[in-house]
Amino acid sequence: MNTPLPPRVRHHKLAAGLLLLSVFMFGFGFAMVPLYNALCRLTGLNGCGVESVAAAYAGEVDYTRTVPVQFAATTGSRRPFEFRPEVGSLRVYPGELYAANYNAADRSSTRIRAQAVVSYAPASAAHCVHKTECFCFMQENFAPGEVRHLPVKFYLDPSLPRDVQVVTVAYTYYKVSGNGIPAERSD
Amino acid sequence: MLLKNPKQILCIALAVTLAALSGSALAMDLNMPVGVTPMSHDVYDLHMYAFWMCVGIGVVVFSLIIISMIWHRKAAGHKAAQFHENTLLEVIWTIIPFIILIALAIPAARVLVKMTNTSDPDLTIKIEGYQWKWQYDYLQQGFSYFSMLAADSNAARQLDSKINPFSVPHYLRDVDHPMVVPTGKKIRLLITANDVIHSWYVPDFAFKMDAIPGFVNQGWIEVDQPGTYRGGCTELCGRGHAFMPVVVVAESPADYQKWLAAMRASNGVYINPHTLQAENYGSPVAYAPPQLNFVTPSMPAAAATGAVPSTPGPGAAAAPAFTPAAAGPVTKAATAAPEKTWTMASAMARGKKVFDDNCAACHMSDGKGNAAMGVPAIAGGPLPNGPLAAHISLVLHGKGIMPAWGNALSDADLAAVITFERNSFGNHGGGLVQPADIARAKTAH
Amino acid sequence: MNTVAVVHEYHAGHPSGLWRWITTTNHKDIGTLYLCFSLLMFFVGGAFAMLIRAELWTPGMQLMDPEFFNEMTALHGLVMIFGAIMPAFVGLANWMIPMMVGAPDMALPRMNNWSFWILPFAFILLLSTLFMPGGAAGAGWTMYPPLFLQSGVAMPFQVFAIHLMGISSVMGGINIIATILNLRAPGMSLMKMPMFVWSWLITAYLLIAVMPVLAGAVTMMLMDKYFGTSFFNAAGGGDPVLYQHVFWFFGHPEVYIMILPAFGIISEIIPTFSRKPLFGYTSMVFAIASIAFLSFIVWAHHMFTVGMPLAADLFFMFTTMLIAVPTGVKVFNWVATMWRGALSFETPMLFAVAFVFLFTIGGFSGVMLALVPADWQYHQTYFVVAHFHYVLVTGSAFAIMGAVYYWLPKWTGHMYNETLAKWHFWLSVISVNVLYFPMHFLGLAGMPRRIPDYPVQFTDLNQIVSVGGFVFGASQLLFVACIILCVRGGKKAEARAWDGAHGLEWTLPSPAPYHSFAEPPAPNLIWTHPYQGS
Repeated sequence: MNTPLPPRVRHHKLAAGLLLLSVFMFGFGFAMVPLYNALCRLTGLNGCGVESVAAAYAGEVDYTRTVPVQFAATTGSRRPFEFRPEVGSLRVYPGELYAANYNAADRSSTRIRAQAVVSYAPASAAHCVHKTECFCFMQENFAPGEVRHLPVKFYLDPSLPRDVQVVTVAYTYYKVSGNGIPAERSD
Repeated sequence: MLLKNPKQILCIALAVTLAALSGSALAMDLNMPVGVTPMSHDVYDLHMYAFWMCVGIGVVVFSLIIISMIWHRKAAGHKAAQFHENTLLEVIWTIIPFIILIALAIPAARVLVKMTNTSDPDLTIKIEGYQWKWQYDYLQQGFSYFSMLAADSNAARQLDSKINPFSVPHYLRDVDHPMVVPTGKKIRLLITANDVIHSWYVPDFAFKMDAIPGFVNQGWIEVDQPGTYRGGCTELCGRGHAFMPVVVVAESPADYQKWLAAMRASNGVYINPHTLQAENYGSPVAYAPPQLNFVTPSMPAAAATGAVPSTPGPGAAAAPAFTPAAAGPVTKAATAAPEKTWTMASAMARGKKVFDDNCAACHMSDGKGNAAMGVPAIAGGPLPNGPLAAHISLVLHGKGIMPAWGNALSDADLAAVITFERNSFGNHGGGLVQPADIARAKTAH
Repeated sequence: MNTVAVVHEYHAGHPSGLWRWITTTNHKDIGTLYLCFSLLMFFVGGAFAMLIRAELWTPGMQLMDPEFFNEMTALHGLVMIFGAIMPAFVGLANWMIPMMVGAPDMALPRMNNWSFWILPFAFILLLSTLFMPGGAAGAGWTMYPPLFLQSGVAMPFQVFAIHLMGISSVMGGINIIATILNLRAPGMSLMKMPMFVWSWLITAYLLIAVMPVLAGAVTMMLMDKYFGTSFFNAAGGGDPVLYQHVFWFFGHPEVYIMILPAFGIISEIIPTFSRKPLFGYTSMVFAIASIAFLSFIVWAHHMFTVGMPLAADLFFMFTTMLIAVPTGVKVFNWVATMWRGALSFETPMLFAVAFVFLFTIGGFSGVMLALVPADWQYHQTYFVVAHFHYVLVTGSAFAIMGAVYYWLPKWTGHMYNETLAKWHFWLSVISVNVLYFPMHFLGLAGMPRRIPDYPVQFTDLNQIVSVGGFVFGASQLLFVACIILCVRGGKKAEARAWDGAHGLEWTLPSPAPYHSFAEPPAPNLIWTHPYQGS
């Protein structure tokens, strides 16, 4: 009844199981991407990267405090591309809807497609900045020499932690080209 | 007698070498710097506390080994005992490290909480890492400039430069345009990168933070004493990794204000804080928007900016004072899209613009698509020539690499672009889509 | 069994010459191949290190372009980790595990042949990137994007080389687990296994669990570069920091893959030369298992400066510090094993004692590095370089050298030249401290790692470090001399080469016959640790 399996069979069964484990772990490496993104959304870890979903406006305003919101802009390539906020900072009531616009100007001679990536500091404020409208939701095309007005409408969630006393919203504008990796540069 | 055995000679040589090294380290002041920020003092104390704790444990463990190496040698005639476990002893030496670790973890956690508290800054400076230089952006002051390795260091560091690095003052620790900060103020640093990951490090501030492209990190410093503090990039960033030093000049608040005033007036020329004399900067550093002739497109929402909240709450009087006139709260009425009805001509005109801005990147401005990317053609495609509902649904919800545009574009724009797609590029799907149709399609789901 | 019989047996029914080594499925042959390969790679990686130390002799760039320096640091790391340390441990496992558990061979001998023969090709591929246009990838052994993505044609070749190394390691790990679980001699329960076998059982599981994660990480980078995905590309919605999380999820267990077998070796050598059973066998097993478990939840301590939330910083700081507890238990157990033993200091014991001292120093700097605020000062400076070289060179490499001297008599049938070996040990142990100890000071003074040129105030210490490096490098030639002399001849070794040694391998003649334990050993030959004896 209880005859042990021949060694070859036992080896192969064990090896197959272990091989399966290694395949599973290979998959797990890839699964870390959505897991990490979910974790980021949950905790605001490292900002949020590309956002494509507009928030609905809730409408409840906390008039008991104001929070300065700073705007920063970075150009993620060395093209002659100018990109900056219209105003450096706004003092806002959490819950109130505000417009904060950016301007961008492509000074190059070719058409480009660009994608803005957003990041927040501190990270704990990331899930408290809601945008009902943002140029970062989609890729934008710039004709040579085109100057563009880029609207953002946002409100801070009234649940913003009290210890967050200043929020920075930073956009980096990337040229989207194939893989969007900065080209190699010489010294 | 002592030095007859070669092993003993070697042992002594080892001990002397280590002692000499430790001695030289103390003589050359190569311990961690105490630094000039409240944080760096705390970190130094934590470091020394952990160090002496390790020394203490080391003395006990190493003495036990050395004692048994001397006394329990077989050559000295020692007979081996045969004990091999002792539960009490094992429990004790599991618990004692726990206690030591807790004694280390508590002060470390306390300092850490302090380090991450960036509230109430007096000043915010954005630092951006480039291959291979830094950019300092004084967000509230409206100017920014690049900071690169000083020219004399740069000449000396070239392969076979024949320049003796020892003859260069502050070799690899000097830049053309140092960052300038006021003393005694809490400075919030926002750190990001342009190309690859860098890391901004000044030992005297006990501050090191990675600069990550696309993401902003924050931290803070508060410098006690005026002076020049030097550091560098600590994250491998390519060929010039060693050649992008960080230099920070801390000045008294009064001198800092003088420097700020000079920088604002200099129209893009870097002002050396030490001399307050202009030097030629070369590349433009001006940040001033007037140089840009922005054409503001007519935007319904933008028109409403600048309005104060309809129901001002307490403190409202103070709040707008910080708010430049150009922007401000949007009144709630403005966010609800006005009802709009397209005519065929207006829809086609608006639709073409929306298409060029949003769709042409993949579907191409001639609507031929991009087979290499797997993007289908709009021209002659099945959807723009088929039932309207399927077309609207795909645009709203996306599929595969096609994004969902439902929330990205306004109902009016969505209606216009769908109308445009069905009536151009030789398509004959036809129809004039109204914003209300889009709103209905959205609620249908 | 006399020598003639051994020689005869070697050749009976086996191809000879090169073909024998290519087609061999014998665990001893494959173990020898692994060990020779790792020794070769030790010198290749060492040569890169010598170039690094030569450039760092004095400020200014004298010998090479900064980019070539970056290629050297990257390849030094990759070659030493994947080419020297890991194959050496696998080689020791191949030679010793079947003999230690009383098995005739590894469970899957043909796969064993494959796991080895993939490696030379992987390294030819990796080293060939040096000769490609644009040179090798100079982004460190950690290959962080976006910098790694900037490297030219070398990048896909390096990624494929890493895939091959991963496949080799996973197959090796599967084989070791199958051997240990399925082929133990009757009577050898898990809790009777020698500590080296225990450490490898756990290490092999770590290998299978994390090498595929590394393969996944580099594959994602390959896709980012060539197939337009955006896993780690911020412009497309990815996050370069995510790569660091995935990499270190592999990387930290990898660190323990390189130290747990060393723990096993030290736990074999110290009892032998203390002539006393290992203290706390059970707690040693549990310590290894808990270190392996903890290795999966500490990874982000390699990235305290990337800007993580406070809660994450605290979590990874505490879990990292916890590792000190089982590691401390191991050190205390070794000390207790030596305590009141009858110690003698043959070369394996010298390496083992040096290991306990110097690994502990590496452990101390590890605890200091775990403290997040202090890590902001230490991170990416020479303090870190000092730390991981103390645990990897005076830790893993010293354990391997000790193991080679310990088992050479069993492999060759000859005793090695004790005088020469002691010279090797003393030169190594002194020079290695001259090499790595001042790096602590350099790091504390703020010298970043991976820089080809440095400010002038670091000159004196860098010159001391370089001298230590050159002497340490040259001393290893003595190691090779010891091994060659021992293979060629020397005093005849007894079956039980060391009077205090226990374990099945010492019941076999020296040199061990080509086929051992074709019949399982009699249960009374299996040495029982006294903790379960009476």
